[in-house]
Amino acid sequence: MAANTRPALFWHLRIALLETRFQFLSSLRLPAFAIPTLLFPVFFYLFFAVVFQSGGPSLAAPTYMLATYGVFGVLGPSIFGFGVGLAQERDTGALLLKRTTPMPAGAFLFARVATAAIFGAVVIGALFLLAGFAAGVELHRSQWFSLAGIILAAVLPFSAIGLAIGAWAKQQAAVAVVNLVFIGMSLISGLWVPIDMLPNVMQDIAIVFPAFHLGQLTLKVIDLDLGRPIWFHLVLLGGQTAVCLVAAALGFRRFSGR
Amino acid sequence: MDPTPPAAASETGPPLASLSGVSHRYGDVLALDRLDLEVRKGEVLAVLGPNGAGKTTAVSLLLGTLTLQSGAARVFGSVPDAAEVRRRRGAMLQVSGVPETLTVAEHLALFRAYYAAPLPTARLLEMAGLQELRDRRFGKLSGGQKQRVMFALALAGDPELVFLDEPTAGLDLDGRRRLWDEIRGIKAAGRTAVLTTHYLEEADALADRIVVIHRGRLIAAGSPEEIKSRTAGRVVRCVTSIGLETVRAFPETASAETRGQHFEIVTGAPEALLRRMFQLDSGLSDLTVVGVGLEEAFLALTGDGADPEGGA
Amino acid sequence: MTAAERSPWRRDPWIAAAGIAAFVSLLMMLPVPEPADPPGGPLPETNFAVVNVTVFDGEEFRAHRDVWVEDGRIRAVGQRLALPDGLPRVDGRGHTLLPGLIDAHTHTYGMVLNDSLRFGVTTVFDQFTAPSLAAQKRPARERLARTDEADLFSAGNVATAPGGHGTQFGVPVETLTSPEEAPAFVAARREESSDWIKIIWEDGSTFGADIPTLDRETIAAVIEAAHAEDLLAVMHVSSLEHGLAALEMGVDGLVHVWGDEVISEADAARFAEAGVFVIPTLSVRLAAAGESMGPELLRDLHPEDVSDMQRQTLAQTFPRPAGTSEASIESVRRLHAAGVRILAGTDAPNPGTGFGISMHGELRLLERAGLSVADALAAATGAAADAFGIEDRGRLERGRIADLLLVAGDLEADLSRSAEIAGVWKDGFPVEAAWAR
Repeated sequence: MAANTRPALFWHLRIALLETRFQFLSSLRLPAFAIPTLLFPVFFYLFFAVVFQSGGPSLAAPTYMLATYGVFGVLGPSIFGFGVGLAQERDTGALLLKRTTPMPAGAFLFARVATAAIFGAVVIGALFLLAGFAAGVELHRSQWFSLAGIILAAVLPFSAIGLAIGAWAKQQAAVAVVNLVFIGMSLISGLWVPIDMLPNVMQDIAIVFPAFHLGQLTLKVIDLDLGRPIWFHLVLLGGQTAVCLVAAALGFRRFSGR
Repeated sequence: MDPTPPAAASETGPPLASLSGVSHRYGDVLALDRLDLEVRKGEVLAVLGPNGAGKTTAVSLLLGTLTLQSGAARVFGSVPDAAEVRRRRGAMLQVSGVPETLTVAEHLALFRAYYAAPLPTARLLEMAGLQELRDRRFGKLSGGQKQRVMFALALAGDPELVFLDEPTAGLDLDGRRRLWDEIRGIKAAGRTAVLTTHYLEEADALADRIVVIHRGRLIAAGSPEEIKSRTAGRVVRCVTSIGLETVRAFPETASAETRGQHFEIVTGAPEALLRRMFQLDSGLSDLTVVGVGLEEAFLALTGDGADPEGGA
Repeated sequence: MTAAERSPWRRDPWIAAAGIAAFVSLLMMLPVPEPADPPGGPLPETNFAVVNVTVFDGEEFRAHRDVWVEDGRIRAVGQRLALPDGLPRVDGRGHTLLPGLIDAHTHTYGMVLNDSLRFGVTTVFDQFTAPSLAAQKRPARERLARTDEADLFSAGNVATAPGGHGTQFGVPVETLTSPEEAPAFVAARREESSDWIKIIWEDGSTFGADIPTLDRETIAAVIEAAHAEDLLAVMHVSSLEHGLAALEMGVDGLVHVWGDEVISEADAARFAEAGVFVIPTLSVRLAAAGESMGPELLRDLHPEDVSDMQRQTLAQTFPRPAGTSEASIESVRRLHAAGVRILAGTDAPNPGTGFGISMHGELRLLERAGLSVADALAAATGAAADAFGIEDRGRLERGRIADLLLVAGDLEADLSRSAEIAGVWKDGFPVEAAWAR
């Protein structure tokens, strides 16, 4: 018996961390992934919230954009990492190879989620520094932490979207679909432009997108949301995530029954 | 029409891995047809067959990456995707790559971590001939180098049983011979290996035992010499007045069929065959004698002369 | 080699911990807002901000606003204002900030302007008082200074017939009897600093009396003369019939709603079309019907702020009940539904009402008459200022005087919260009262 005698939890944790380390390194070395996901939100914020708004009488816009660009900042790594990355690993056979090894499936998923969270943390770290020290945004400590917490938690529902796309689309198609979702959902959900400035039709459509609810939850922290109750957003977000996970599971089932 | 039955398992104790009566369909296509297969401890088993014969399907079932439809698949006495099995098994898949932005050493570090007692990195690099390429990213490697990395990853956990699914597919002659050298090394530590290939030469060079699969069925099994002797014949092509059934009845004839007005006869003894034919038909004409390709070899083994498109 | 092989995963937990620690440290060093004091202690004056408060701006509610007061005027209202360092801040969370209330119908004497201010009524529109008092109080409303009185705008001397309604209170009243006297009468009021002209049309018929009153020709002439002098003409009527007649004569507003009958929807539409505003003074209508809001208000508002005089007038009753409150309320409902501008006024200090305090009852009565919370509050702020052409108060917007009322709780959800006063500012100065202690 070559069975490992280490405590299973320790072993799982060790693999999870190592998978994360290499997942992160591998993503970081991929300019097509790292540059847009790290720089887009930061440059957008610098441009629209710091440069455009500087000296204005109100800090509402830089504060609003802090919340929504933060969500935008984790959307990228989450859905690109899962959507494109997973499709790619499936198409190249890397995923199949790993299934023949003792690698715990949980560690693999953990690594992707954690990698998205690390990228997200880097993005929101940069956004928060810009907001606090360049745009003049002041928030209570509890608000800074709540914003960071919600934004990082957003990795989960966004990863579920990516997982669903990655499970169904081939690599090339996945790139197109992910970009469409990335840009379309961000715009309609009010991550770029305040949602109350968008046509009512788009505000109604936005209800179906997790990004809308996450945006509203972060905006609620800073009292700039549309005023719907928290449970409304949580229930819809949970439902949407469940739908994505079911879709992903169906996609992978089809893949293993090949 | 009589597939050689697999050798009795009692020869070397219970098999390390086996497929029993396994059939597998992709839609309407029957990829495996009641296949029986055994892998014995310590051997390098080559699963030989033309493209589409069902080799990869058989291996995928033993790796647990494909869901079994009917029959039984056992590895180390367990189901193929049991955790215990994964720890003791390594695999090199036919279509497989790993993330291109990580280096050889990083990939090895990750795979080694999956196992309780992995082989040392230096040993793996040496076994796969990758010492010089240790810090090169996977994406910067040549096709042959990539295959050697995949080979090293298959051995990372010091496995007892290694599956190598068409390891040299797509490689040039040099790359192929290089990888052969590495594969030969895996027997050293008493490992068992299953190799799929559609090159008889490769099977001959690497395997202790060869099983031949055609259209999802086991059609022959034996030592490389046995298989070679059954396939190393000649094709005699001619126009003759002798009837097809008569030709097929000759003891020298392995298989025979008509192509247009020509006969094509596979035989291990072309001289004796031709002597016999000239006695019966002195007007035999348009004669050529050539070596068999693999396709003819399979035809010979199957005796399935009526269906020339098989095995493409 | 062996150490190098094993190190990757041995270091990982430390790298992860270091990363989390760095991230938390970053969050800890981000700028936090300057502390805001909860209302309850001494309130800041002249230059300050009420932050993160729900605002009623004179027309509608807006959540999570900052209101920045500078030199006694509103500098800015908005979300997350870029406030200067060191500016005193009042934490408005859980509170509602609105413009100081305007009582559009009072009769001023004595210390009543103090009584009004303690209850958040920062401006009163007086509908008949001694012209000398009106002139005396006038300068206060044109300067920004610490004060303990509400600002006064007034009709001054009313237009009534000799011996008519208005002459019975002991205040000397200039009267008139014919249309020819109207221009001179209006010019004299203007001279006395009347801010508008109020006309009495009251024959006593609705409460069984027979009182001398102006004839229709004279009333029409006064309205015409007021308009010629660019003054508003408002009118006291106590029957629907007179109200409709006043409408025909071109009156700008009525300072009571009638109690004798309910207006038809068609007639309400005529009021709306003519743009005539109505100050229903439901507080006094209910008191006249024997249903004063007094007990309810004395229960809800801070008892130490209620002066003897407020207590006394709230306790008084009318000798003869007149009209029904239901009819008055129904008429207001129809007028409002038709789009007529309704203003809040109490007619204090009539029996059953009190200065200042009764505005909180009038708001509740307007809500009972079908106005939304926002419409009821607008009737006491923005709409009142608009109706009387006053542009320096009544709304929370840049440049207006910082007359502010801060109440605890969500006023939009519960209008009776107006009684839970947490702060009043007049001209940017906090008002001393018992609720602050």
